[in-house]
Amino acid sequence: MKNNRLLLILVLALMALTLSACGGRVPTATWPGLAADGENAYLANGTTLYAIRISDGEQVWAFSSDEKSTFYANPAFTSDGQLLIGSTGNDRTFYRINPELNPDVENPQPTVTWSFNDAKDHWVATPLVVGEIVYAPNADGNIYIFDLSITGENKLVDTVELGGKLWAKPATDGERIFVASLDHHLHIIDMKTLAVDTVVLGGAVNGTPAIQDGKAYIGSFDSALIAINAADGSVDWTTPVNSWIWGGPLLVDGVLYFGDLEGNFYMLNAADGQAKLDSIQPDGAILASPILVDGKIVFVTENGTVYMLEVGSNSPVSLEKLEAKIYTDPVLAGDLILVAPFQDETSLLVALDKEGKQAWSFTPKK
Amino acid sequence: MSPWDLFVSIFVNSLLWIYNLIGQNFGVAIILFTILIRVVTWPLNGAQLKSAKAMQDLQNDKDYQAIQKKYAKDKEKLAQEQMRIYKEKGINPFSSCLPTLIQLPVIFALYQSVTRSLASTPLALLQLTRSIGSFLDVNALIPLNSKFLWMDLGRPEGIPLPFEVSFLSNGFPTLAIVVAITTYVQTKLTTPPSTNPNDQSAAMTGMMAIYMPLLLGWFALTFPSGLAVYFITSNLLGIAQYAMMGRANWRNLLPGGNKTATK
Repeated sequence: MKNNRLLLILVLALMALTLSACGGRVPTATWPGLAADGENAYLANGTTLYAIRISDGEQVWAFSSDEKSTFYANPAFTSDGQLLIGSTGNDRTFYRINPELNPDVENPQPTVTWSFNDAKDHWVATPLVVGEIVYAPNADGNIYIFDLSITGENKLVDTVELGGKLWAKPATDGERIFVASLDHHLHIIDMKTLAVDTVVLGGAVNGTPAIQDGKAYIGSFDSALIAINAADGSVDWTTPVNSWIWGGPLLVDGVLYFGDLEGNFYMLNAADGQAKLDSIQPDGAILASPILVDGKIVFVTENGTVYMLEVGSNSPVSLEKLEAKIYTDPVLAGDLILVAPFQDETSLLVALDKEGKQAWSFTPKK
Repeated sequence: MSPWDLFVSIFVNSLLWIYNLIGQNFGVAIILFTILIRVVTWPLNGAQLKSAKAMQDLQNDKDYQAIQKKYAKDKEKLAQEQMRIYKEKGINPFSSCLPTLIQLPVIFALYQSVTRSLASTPLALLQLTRSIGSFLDVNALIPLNSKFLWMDLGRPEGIPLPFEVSFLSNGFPTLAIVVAITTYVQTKLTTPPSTNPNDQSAAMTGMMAIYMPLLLGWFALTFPSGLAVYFITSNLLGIAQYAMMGRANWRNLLPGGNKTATK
């Protein structure tokens, strides 16, 4: 009888284990977040936030919260050089972290200088920092507005309820905040009054809008790039493309650069949405936003290739092909292009020079 | 795509098809999907119940009890004799387990399909878009409405408490309690009475009546509440099926009901 009881408990425990292994409580596996200041790159990868020295790729520190929070948003920087990053997991804490280490302490760790944990869902979006004010979108549909100049723990000055899941970093033109949402909306918030003007779009939006000359340019999951007049929220033009647009467009000299999930890279005139040049077909889907490097466009594909494109050309050069998928936006850090491969067993971060030569790759210290 | 991924993908597509059909209510979609699964597995569950009843009856069979006494110290001979009786009476001792084993992958796949459909991370959303058939307009479906009654189906359920309880971080776990109760009720209702004090099968069922509600209650407490909606619907349908087959043993629900029934 004792054997039967033991067998039953073992079977049930195995069942529990199997179900737990089938994805966990909250699916936390996704691609890493990345940001860099003049000295370090900061990689949000799973339960660890790494600081990596840009000059040589050495690990400066690795931060994990007591609650084993998961990080995958791109970190943002405060005006005094501290890091802001939200987490997912059970506690869903939004952290401000001082990256400076105390040299007088053995095994120094970065310090959490403030935290906020009243949000109801994950922090996927990168917060927008304007001076001392932080606009932090959460997947619970709220924008939490913090004033970091306030002393004490309660820095929350307002909450703007927008609804839907907010995964994209907001953009600003200095007067308004532009917040895209997965529930097919672009919200335009007046920074002074916090009045909200909502534009209904044809699909979910996950990318950060590009803002210039009173217009917001945004790509959506209904396979279109849309120009919206910031003043009244009216649609200026809509250009259909072949597939979903995941990342936000890059606007350089009046031309919008962006990719789609089918693996096309587009160059549209911002003025009228017409193609500046024929689209390019690199080697895979494009989810990350392109970046500008010395006047050239750098973009990455899901298949792991880093491309560089001269402005005015539609013949990109392959800088490097990694043996891993790339979803994270590349980051320019000094003279290096930082690329965070997804689920690469050998390195979490790769630094390339502008010719595509690998300067270093980062593997965490064990 | 691995065979398992394909299996889960069928679940995801079915769930989202129902979700789209009924006006984008994910809670109702889960309930309807559970009913569909129950209908498909109805013959299996019926067979399981009949088989369990046959095994239970066998425990009260005099020949069966006699060989158990006779070969109590010779396990090998006992096993041979038991197999002989199973053969004579046309009982397959594993047929009561088989439907349960078949349902396990269904539970796992449903759990994965709920979490995949609700896509709470960018990667999950990307995977979802690539696993949905062309018969569904994915763009129109995203993001899924995960709200159902007071719940967010992508998160563990809990009704906020006016005070803080450290081990109830999500609030009062109403659904987990309902899952535990309905699982208990279902298990007790399907326990046939036994007159044999040495009936190991009845003892095992008794243990299951304790452990299964605790296990499923724990699942409901910690996993997305969409899974708890599945458990409750499945349990209620199970109870209804047993009642319709005239097999429900309602007296088992009363304290000492099992003993009363055995007199």
